[in-house]
Amino acid sequence: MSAYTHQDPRLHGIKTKIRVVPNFPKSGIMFQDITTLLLDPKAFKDTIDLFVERYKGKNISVVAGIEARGFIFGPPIALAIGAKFVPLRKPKKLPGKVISQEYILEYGRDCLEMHVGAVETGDRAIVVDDLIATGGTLCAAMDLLERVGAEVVECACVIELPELKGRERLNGKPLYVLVEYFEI
Amino acid sequence: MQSSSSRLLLCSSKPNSLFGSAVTPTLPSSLRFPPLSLTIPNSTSSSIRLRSLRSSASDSSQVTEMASQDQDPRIARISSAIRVIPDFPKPGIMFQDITTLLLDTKAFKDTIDLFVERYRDQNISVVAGVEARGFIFGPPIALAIGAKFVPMRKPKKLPGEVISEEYSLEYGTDKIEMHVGAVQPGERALVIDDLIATGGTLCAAIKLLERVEVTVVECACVIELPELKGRERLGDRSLFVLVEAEGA
Repeated sequence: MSAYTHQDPRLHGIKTKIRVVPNFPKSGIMFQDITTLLLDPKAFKDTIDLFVERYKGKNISVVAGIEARGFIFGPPIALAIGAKFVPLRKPKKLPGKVISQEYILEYGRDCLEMHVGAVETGDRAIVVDDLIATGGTLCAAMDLLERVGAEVVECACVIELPELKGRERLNGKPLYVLVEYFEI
Repeated sequence: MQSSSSRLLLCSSKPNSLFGSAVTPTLPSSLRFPPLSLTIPNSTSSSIRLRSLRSSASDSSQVTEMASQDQDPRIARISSAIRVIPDFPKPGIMFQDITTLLLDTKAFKDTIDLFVERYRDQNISVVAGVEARGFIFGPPIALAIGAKFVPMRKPKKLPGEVISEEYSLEYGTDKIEMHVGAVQPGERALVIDDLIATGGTLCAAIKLLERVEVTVVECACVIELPELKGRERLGDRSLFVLVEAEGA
């Protein structure tokens, strides 16, 4: 589901604040830059409010955020809905005991890690990132949470690139986004 | 295992008067968080440090004795929510792990509230957060005080035009970057990170902002490792922390 299709009046302000940077990090990629959104306090607040309104009162006990831009959106949501914030990180960043989940990239693999003990069986979780492209990272995140017995209620992103079919890769898990970006 | 104690210190930001001071003046509660003046003359700026020394135990629970001095009641819980991991990322380092603080919803909220209470009436228009743990604490503060959030990142992460500042590490150098145009001359900024150790990263962040004529009002961290003298490296810049910890 995309909030944009229901035309909440705040969405236009959010969408126009996202800057598209061509050919980053490599040729042919239109990079969705959310840092310009963060420079507009009202638009940033509206972004968080839209997620908080959706998840407050739904017994969400965990907000998992994917390094690094998920760390920007996840904690304000967690604080507002009274949930724990759990960072999901690249390898070797988290100290102490972790569990890892590998995932496939266009070329090669990467790995996402979570602390042992951060999430418990029965926790109801949302996964937050700034953007969903192919869905590979979000899938790895969901796998980590489900492996420790949490229920992933929904994935939440500011932006979706529908042409990359990330939504399908989530295997039926609900996805909620604020804006969609189409290259065509 | 060292015993630990927590004390409230009111100190000026001049390094010499801070380091090794053992006496804690008593303060009326209204002065525990003195208001920042709108223009802070460097020589008279002050910062409050709420001190909680960590034991050298491993990830078992920390022992902190409360001093008789007044301390904001929220600090004890924040301090005990931080987990110390020995020998990470390498032998001899006692790593201060704030992820356990993030699992304690009250303590995380209190952490943010303590910063917000200090800065909300100070005309701060920019909160700059250092990647990646500064991204966790900076945005909630920015949102609450109505400021922009500006991420300071490792090289090649920010798209578009950036300015860079190099800084020294124990071995070698690293670089931190900020977007061109994110901040304007004359803006008043905070720099946020989870922890200050040697102060190298924070110094680089301050330099980036000052190069584009922003006033850095204060650096704010959850944790300080005083033995690593980061406060001295910041020179006259003001530093505010919630908790102090042993570095090794």
